[in-house]
Amino acid sequence: MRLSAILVVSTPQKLPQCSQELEALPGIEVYYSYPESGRIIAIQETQSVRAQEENLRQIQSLPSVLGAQLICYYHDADLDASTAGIERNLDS
Amino acid sequence: MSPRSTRREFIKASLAAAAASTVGLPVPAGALPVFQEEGWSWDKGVCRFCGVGCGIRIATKDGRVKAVQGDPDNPVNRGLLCVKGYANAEILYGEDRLTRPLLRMKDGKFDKQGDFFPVSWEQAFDEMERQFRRVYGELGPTGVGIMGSGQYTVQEGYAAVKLLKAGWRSNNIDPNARHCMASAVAAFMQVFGIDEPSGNYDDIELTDTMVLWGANMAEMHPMLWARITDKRLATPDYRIINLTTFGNRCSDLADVEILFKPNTDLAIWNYIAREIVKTGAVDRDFVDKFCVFATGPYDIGFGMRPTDDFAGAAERDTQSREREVVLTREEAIAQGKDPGASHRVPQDNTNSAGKHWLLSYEQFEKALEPYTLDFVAELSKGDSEEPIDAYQEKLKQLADVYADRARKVVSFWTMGFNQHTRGTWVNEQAYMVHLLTGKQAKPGSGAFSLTGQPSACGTAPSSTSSAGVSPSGPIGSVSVNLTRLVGVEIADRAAAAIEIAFDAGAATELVGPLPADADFEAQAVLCLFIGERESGGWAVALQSIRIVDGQMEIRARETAPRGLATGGATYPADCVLIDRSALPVGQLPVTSTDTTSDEFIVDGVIDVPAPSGAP
Repeated sequence: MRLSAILVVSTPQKLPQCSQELEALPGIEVYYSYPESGRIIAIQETQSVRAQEENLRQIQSLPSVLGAQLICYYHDADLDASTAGIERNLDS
Repeated sequence: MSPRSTRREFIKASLAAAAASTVGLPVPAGALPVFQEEGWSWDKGVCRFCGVGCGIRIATKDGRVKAVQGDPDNPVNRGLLCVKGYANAEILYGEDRLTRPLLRMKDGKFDKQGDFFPVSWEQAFDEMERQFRRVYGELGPTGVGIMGSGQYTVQEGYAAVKLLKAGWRSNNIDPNARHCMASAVAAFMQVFGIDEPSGNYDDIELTDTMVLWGANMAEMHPMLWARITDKRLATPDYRIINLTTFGNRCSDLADVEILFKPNTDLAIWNYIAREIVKTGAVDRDFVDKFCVFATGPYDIGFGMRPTDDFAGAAERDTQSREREVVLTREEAIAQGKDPGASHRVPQDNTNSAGKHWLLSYEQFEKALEPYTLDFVAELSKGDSEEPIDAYQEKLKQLADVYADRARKVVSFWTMGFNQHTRGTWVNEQAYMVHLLTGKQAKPGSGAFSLTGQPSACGTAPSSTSSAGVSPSGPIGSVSVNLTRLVGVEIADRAAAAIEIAFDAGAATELVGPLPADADFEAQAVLCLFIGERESGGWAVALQSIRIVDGQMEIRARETAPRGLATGGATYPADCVLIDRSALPVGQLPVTSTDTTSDEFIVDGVIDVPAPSGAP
């Protein structure tokens, strides 16, 4: 499990639209909205690195979004199991 | 709710709260802004994936990365990270990551034609040592070298220099600054005399006009773009002009998007300069006080070989112009020549592209004359669908922001300029416009060359990881009271002189008199050594000394550190002893011109003592 906190920058006018567009994306949860500054803190949950990056790109390309940046990032211990296969390949 | 999902919700809540507080957004009461689990250990570092230099915090537990966070205390990114910052953790565990050395082998032995096989670290180092000893034995210090990286930390660059210069006694090291930013460096040297980007990231908040010259910062320097976005949204009068050869994400926020044809940015700069001159927007006080006008040859070729024997298919068109260029109609107009005639220009200055000479203001103004709005708009318009009137209007707005005395302007660029066919020129043009309007080296104003990697310049000047560059920049002369050196051995005098010079800070002139018993050669060596500090000194092989117009010119080749500055007295084998009888007695100034090659000449004054027995 990969969790990341993302700062999404929109405008005060487009904030409601932005919230809706974000919630429509898989694995995205809007945690805090700041109507005055047009900002949102969202949490993204994905299983793979690729999905994580792809989702961030999707957020960045939403019509209501001016920019999106990762702030914090968390790996669950499950990650170790998912990378063990890679190490096995190298050993062979 | 299962305990597992409870923990997940808890982590999500603390992530969200930590994120909000990191970027200065209020956190609802009761939320825990603590991003920490038992056994996590946090360390600081710098992200290496672009030129911004963001601070990151990384949590590890049991030797594995558990969490990544932008460093809220870092003045560059202020707690934010982009997708590249993310990757600092993931890259360690990626499928493509090498976790052990691979060696090309055939039949169990190293072979350059063999395939890669995993080997132990011990085996890898043994093979590297064997190959190094072989090459070093055959060719000596000039046979080995290091290609440094812009992702070196400053400390890593320093270690590389120490290994190469002090350990291997070679001078063959060049950093990223010479690989990807060579044109930017040449322009820094030509315009300012020192290889350092000017400007400060704080200008993003201090300025009211941001002009991007081909820099797609939204994707390439995301954290700086985040700061620009913040400022733009909070400041109604803040303007962003995005000059680019294709529509990119910066245009989403930009007030004006100018799509131009590749390479025509040089003409656009000249148009801006022309407008500034024509509208009386030149900051005469600033220009008179700090600037001179200069130009150089345009028949400089393209830095390629004279034949196409080595040219790849893609570079043949440029290579064919290496010796002679047939001017296009636009080039003829720009050079004040008849556009109807054919002009073949032999490239006579391929080996002297840095040559330059002074111009009068009137000559400068005259040279800009062909760059009218009509000419430049027609030449540079990049979108065939765009009406010419609309494009001209945008160029006018662009010139206006530079000319407007009430506006501050920051111009950002990256490799769009630097890896340009005329990269040095276009860098110089940016400085030209900023200096003309006095919008340089002031809070909120400046022409700012963004780097592509975080230590592109950090490792070059700071840790001297370039051939022929000293830690304190180009070798100059320093002020040393040489009378303090009486009674000291020659080599120790050299060392002492260097220490004294640097203890005193960067002084500007070597002053005498030398102690009466000073050996003349020691004086020359002193001059050549001044400027060195960190690496323990360079050994210098004197090649020639001659007197030109009453000045002494010393030519020397940097060879390798031989311990002269650290107290030893070994001279390089090819050191030329000076015939003192050929020199006039008295104080002799030493001239300095060239520090860009490994041959250099140093400023200073040398006392030539009267031969013993003379009155």
